[in-house]
Amino acid sequence: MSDLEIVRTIVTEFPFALFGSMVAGVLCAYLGVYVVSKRVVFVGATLTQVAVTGIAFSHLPLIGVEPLFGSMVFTLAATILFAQLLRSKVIPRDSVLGASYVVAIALRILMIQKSPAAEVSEIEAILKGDILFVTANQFYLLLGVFLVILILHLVFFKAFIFVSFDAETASTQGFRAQWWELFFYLTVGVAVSVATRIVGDVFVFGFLVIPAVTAILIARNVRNVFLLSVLFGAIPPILGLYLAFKLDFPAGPTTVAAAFLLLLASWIAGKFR
Amino acid sequence: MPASEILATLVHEFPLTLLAGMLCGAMCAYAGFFLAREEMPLVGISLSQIAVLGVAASYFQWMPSDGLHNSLLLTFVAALSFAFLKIEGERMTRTLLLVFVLSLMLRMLIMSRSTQDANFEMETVLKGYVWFVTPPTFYLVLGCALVTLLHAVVQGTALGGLREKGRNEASGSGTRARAFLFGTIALGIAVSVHSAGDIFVVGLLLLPPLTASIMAQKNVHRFVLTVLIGLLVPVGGLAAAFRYDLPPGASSVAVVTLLFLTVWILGKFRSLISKPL
Repeated sequence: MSDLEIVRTIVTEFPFALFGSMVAGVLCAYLGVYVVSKRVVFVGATLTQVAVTGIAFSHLPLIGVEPLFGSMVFTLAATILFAQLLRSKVIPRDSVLGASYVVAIALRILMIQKSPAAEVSEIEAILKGDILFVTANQFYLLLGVFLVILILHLVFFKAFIFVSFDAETASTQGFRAQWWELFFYLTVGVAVSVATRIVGDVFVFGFLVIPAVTAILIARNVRNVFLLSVLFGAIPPILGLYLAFKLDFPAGPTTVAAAFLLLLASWIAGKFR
Repeated sequence: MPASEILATLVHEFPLTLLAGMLCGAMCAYAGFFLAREEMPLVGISLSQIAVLGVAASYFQWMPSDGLHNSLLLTFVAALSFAFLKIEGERMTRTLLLVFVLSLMLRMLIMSRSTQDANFEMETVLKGYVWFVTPPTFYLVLGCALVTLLHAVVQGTALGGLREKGRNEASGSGTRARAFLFGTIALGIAVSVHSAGDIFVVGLLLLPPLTASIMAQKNVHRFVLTVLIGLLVPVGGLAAAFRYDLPPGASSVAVVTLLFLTVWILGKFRSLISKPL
């Protein structure tokens, strides 16, 4: 299959996978700038695992709720908990995130053990990151979440920036930093739970960190960091889907690999600057 | 089946699994204690993911060595790199997460090209579904535990060695001590991932030190409690796994999580219990 044919096949046969992964990439890359700036990079990995655990919970016998609902409830509960615990000086931040990460995975394994085989395969598909079969409904849901979060972040942009980059000064100037942080984490929680259900966990936590780190390596001011991060969130899904088709690899990890290649290129370019 | 009967069955039917689990638990908790003290708790998560990548790499047809050798090699290289990297704080965390994502992504790409049997084996390693520890694996774990013990002895009560970190660094011996520490940690993680599974290793690296830090205030007490928790939790984990038909790795993490939550809740009502150690 020629390169042109691959591109045509992706656009015509898998449009929701292409545009869905681009929307998810841009959303995660945008939020990733805050996550990296707030020095909680592992929060993405932890929240995605919590989201998958929520999906596993919804498949337990006698529970029977919509997987997205389970994922959302678990993730939002975790974000509320993190908003409190990550401000604590008693337990180190990384320890809180690491412990939550491993507990979420252990719970998921135990729940899967007690779930019917048919549902287990759905969870494994999420973990393997096969993003090719994004449905129209999933895409519109993701787009809706993206637009709502975008509007909220545009309206409250100054407050989010102020609280993220200098929470202490923000508090002294009358900002209720704790509430803004909770609000921010809730938007991350909603984005992560929806995106994880649609594009898989590796994609989500990869894109919550890699594009933002790539942008920080290149950009000189905050505005450019955001712009470049969003750009680096939009390009790898195109490249990743193309490579996945060409080389017959799972699309999720290949897309993350494409983002990683961009990071590597930026790092090398930075060394020669 | 009553608890005593389950324990008796474990001792008689799965003695090597029980002993290997306890040794792996103690080694991971030991490593976790020092990583927590170095303020690098996430190093363990990255190293275990690298160890799993080593197992995956062995499924390449052109790869001459087996999973354990690959895991040991990759984990050693990564651990020593982390030990000597001149970055700290948030930059270190960012580097660790990038290494973690890279290892995970590579493992998934490799496994997508591997056979169904290989994928099944990988699931066993990831979920910690390890019931049948063979004698060679047990002796490997035992040897590794002895190296960890040697580390504790050579460090001149390792606690003291790290307590005087600043002085050691000034005299140049800090670098050697750090290399020895990270080498021991790498060995413990690679062998434990091989014999007890990834989830077991990560859980026992993170949760025992966290639990001990709530229970005790002095470092010596925290150290002893951490290793003790690591030693005993696998017994509870294996018993729960046997009783409820669960993967032992994940059930061990569930047991240590329950212990942590109990201690944490009791800590909130500190006035009701005696003063921490």
